[in-house]
Amino acid sequence: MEEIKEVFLRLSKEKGIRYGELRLEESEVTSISFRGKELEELSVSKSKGGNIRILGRHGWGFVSFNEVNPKSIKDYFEQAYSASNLILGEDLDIEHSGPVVDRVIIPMKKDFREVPLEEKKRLLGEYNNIMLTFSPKIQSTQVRYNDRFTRKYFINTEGVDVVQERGDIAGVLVAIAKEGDLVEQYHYSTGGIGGFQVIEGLYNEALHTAEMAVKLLSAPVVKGGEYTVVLDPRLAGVFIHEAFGHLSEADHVYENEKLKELMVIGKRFGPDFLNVVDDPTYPDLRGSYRYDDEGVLARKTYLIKDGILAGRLHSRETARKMGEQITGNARAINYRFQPIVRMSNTYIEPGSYSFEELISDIKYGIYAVGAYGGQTSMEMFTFSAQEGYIIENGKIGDMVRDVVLTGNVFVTLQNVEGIGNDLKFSQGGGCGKGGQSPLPVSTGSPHIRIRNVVVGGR
Amino acid sequence: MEELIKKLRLESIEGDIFSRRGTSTVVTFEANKLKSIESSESSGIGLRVLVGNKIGYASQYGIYEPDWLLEKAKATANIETNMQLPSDICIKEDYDDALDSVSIEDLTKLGKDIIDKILSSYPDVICNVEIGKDKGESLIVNTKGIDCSRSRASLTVAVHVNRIKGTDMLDVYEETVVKRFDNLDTDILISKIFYALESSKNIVKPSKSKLPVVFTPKAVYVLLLPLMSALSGKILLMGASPLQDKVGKKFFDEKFTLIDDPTNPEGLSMTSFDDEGTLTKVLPLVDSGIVGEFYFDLHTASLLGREPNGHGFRGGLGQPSPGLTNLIINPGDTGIRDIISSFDEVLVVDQMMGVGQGNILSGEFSVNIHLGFLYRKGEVLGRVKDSMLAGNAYNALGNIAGLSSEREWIGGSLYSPYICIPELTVVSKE
Repeated sequence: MEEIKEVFLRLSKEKGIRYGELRLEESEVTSISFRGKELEELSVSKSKGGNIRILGRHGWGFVSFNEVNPKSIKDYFEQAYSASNLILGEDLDIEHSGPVVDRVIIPMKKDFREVPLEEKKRLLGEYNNIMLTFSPKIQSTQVRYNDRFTRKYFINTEGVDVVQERGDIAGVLVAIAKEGDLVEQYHYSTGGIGGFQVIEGLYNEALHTAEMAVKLLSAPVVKGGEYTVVLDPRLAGVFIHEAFGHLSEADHVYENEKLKELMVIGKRFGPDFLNVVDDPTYPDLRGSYRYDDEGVLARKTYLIKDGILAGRLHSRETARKMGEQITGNARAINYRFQPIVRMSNTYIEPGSYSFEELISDIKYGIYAVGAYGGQTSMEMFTFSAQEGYIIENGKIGDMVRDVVLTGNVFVTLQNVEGIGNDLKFSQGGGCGKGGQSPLPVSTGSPHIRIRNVVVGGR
Repeated sequence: MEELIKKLRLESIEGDIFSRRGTSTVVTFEANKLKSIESSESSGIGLRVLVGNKIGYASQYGIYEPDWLLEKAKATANIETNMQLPSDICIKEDYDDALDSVSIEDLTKLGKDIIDKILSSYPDVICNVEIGKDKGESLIVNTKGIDCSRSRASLTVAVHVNRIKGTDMLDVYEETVVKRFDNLDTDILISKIFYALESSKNIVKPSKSKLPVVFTPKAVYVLLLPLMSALSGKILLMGASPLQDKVGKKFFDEKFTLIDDPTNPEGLSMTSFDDEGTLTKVLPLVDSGIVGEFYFDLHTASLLGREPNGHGFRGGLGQPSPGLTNLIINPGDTGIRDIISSFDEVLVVDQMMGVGQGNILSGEFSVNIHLGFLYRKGEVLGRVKDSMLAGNAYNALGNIAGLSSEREWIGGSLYSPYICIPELTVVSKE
């Protein structure tokens, strides 16, 4: 490794490049899944690769590769260097962060590399059995698990030399219920970076997943329309990620003059009591890290403070171009990709209301629970719930299914009417952007209430 | 690789080896300007073993350690199966080398020309363009004499145009994938973008919430996803397919015929063998409304006691699972202009958000209309936004008002006409 670093730094000096990076990555993954009563997958994989990114006068040259040795590095350097020189046009500059040498190891309480395959399989099999045997209406199940240990090396020409190690787990439980031609499903997804214990003890979650799949069979499809909605913390987290998080990523904004005008710092986007944060330094979440993939120290950023646009997420390039502070949000899902501006752990800060207070004066609305996912086009966004309940005269009533909500960033955040006091983080999320998916992120929120939300339905 | 096969034979273990090697070059234009030039090389190998009647699997990217692969594959052998590896087929599929001579300069010129053309007609928009050239080789070898390889090359042009007026944002995405440079027609792509920009000048609302809806070929996936899932051997195995007891019965509109055709020379996935070395077959998934065949990999077919049909494919170096190649939908006999003109009011949907985020198995969909246009008596009125479109894919494909005679390739893997459904529900912000 030392020899490879040395070759990279020597060539950078010889060529007199303005800025360059070398990232190397080693990882090992174990995947286990059940489908119905069958063990579907049990496999291990190992990977090694890297990339070189060089800043030319007007743009970037980038090369990714699997062959990592001092000789190949020289060839790839030449390739990235000549690509960077082919770009003509406006001058491009970046923000600098200064030298740092560090080694970051996120400790695992129970190191999953030391847990025998047999034990992993047995535990997941237990969850699977709980779901399979819950009811004759449970037609089938899925349990998917993977653990990934990654070691990342980052070197750049301004003296950053950082090694980061972490173990990430992602798991999903799915129950499928069937009655006649009707097929419904429910899932629970979770994960974490603290070790194997994050996936242990999910017996109640497995039971709940199966129970909900069966309940959905008798729930009617929601009737489309505009509603006052209360979102549970899981869905509210996805909501803020889609509704505002992506628009806070400066790479959407920095070259778009009109969008810059719409997204000017100090502009009001929501009520006084709305505060939105992105914080990679929040401990023990899947979106947590100390250095981003440009070797920049991570920090907490207020996106919305007291309802007002307070900041946005940056890479070295976007921070420079916009004249704003660098935030350490340039991330890549792996060595095959260039780092782009991404969220980390994004959440709505807690307010003062209890759940009962939030729903107490709603005459007719929807309580939307759990998250299938969401998508945004910056202006408009969607987010889908796993289940919904009719709220009538302040009381939670019957269950409805297929609840998908949509909003508009310039309207919906202003319509947030109340924020609960029960902040919770979800760890199962993976975010997609620019062909890079899934990136481990966390979302968080208390219960929140929003008026006039369009819910699709037949 | 021969070394690994020898090791397997020495231990009397059956197995197959799958390897991939690829190179790609991508030029990226951001906000009308060339921003980065990227290239990549990748290589990896996956080993599947059958120890007794149990499958084990290990893979490596960027490293090749035959002993590690064999040890780990054996250690993971837990999955019981009755599958038989295919034998004695040797096929080499060469790619068309027409793309080899395309240089980085050709790609950047192509991107610049597209952007210049768009900006000369619409100077107030922002264009992001990505042009990528990919070349990949896959190899499947097993202990029973399978030795097949396939090479492929393709060129992808993806254009995103953004226009902002006040707080109204318009984003148009168009993409084309070709196997030969001389098949590339960027004028068609640009004319579609112009049409969307022109038709979006006004924001309009449908006069009622239930109306006929036309899905452009790009939008057809929202209707196909439930079906693609329901016909997978894996879903059948789970007993979760709504189509499991519908084979041979008429379940869809008789105008609807859907085929998976690995032999189609225009499709990106054309191949005569799958990623397990089984010969591929043309599969009539739906034939004139009648439910046809499910698709399988070897292991899934064996669990179901079915004949394999050459549809075991791998994502990256993952294990084989049931997969599709080139999906072809039969056309209708009316032009799309005539279909649109035949209605007093019709919504044409081109881009959606939230597709696949819900219970795909049930066929229910509820999506944001990201790009959709309202037509009255054949004239476009404007763009419909801040609205949700909802329905059930099975019901929709069970009652089709019309399929266009025109068809388009989407992403090199779907060849589809426009599909008109007589009535779906649209909910708009009041």
